[in-house]
Amino acid sequence: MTHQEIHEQLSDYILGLLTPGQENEMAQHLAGCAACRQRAHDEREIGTIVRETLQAATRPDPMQLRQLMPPVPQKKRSGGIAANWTSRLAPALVLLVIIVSSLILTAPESKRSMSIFFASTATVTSTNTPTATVTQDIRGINNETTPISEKVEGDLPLNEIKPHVQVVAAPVPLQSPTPVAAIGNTTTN
Amino acid sequence: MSEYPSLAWDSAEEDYPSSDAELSFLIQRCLSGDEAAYKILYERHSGLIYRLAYSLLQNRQDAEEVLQDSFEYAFRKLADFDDQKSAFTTWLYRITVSRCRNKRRRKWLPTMPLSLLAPHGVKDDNVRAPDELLEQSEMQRTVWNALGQLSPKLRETAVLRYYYGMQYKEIGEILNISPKTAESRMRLTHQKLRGIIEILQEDGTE
Repeated sequence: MTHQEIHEQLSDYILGLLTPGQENEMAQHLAGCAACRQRAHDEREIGTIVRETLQAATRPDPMQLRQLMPPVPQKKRSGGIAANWTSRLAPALVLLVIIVSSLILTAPESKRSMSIFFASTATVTSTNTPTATVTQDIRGINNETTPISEKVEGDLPLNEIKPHVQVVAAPVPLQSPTPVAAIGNTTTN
Repeated sequence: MSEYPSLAWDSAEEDYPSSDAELSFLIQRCLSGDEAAYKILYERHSGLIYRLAYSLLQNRQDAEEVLQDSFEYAFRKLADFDDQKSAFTTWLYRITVSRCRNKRRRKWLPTMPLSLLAPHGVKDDNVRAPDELLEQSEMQRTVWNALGQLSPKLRETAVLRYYYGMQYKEIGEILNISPKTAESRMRLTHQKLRGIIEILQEDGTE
């Protein structure tokens, strides 16, 4: 390594930018060359004086530092977001329940029955003398599963047969509505 | 290439933080809501962060604001710190450097016309030597002024390398640049500082 090469690499040497091989070569040269050693010392002085300057200039005041501590973040309550949302939504849910309940209670009975499951079956038997047998299974208000069974037999005309409970929903179509009278006509003739 | 220069500077701080295990335990205490742990964490690192901010901004008030901002953010984001990715101090330094850049940007890019600010005495006091240096040597005042004349990027490199004694890999992590870029910036920083100091010394002797 020539002196020129040494001078070019001195700053890299003191900044730790040489390869291990170059570093060894540099160290060997500096050990035997006072001029280059002095130059290396001057280069290193830049870093040393920067460090000493910053150390002296930026020295903090411990009391002042303590006063500058920002507030400690408050720990979130357990449950996090879910609990937070639940607590916020609770009043709204209560209000919603009250509104829906009052709507149901104040609505006309016919409207209320919209939510009622209704099923009915009926068998109508017709003869020459109009009589009928009506069997109805009615699942009533409030989804009562207890069927209301009525058997009406008598001399009521067909057009006067009415269920005792007012039915709004469309009933299940009559099953086997073949009139007995028609059968009777064919047999009596 | 060796990361350990034969003439390396020592690590800067006498109050350097505790071991990794102790630090990890301290952070866990903070995360569980222990206020005393936050205080210990702050006291162990606030000096380092204040010095870094002051060195980069060369303004005491700005450094104090950055110190507060940095720790306020670090406390709030403590759960996000991953010790597998970086050391805690590296994470803190990165937060601080980022806030110093923001502070400088806000300071030098005001939203109102400069003509409106002129009567209020806006001036560049970045290169003014702090009071602490009044009692120091002429050379230290010269170096302080020389640091003020460096570009912000080169000043960051100079402070992290000369003062904190960091390796180029860590400098790269903090400044979000590659180790090679950190090396070339350091080479340039050294050359510029040498030139500026020589000029300032010549001016001082005239």
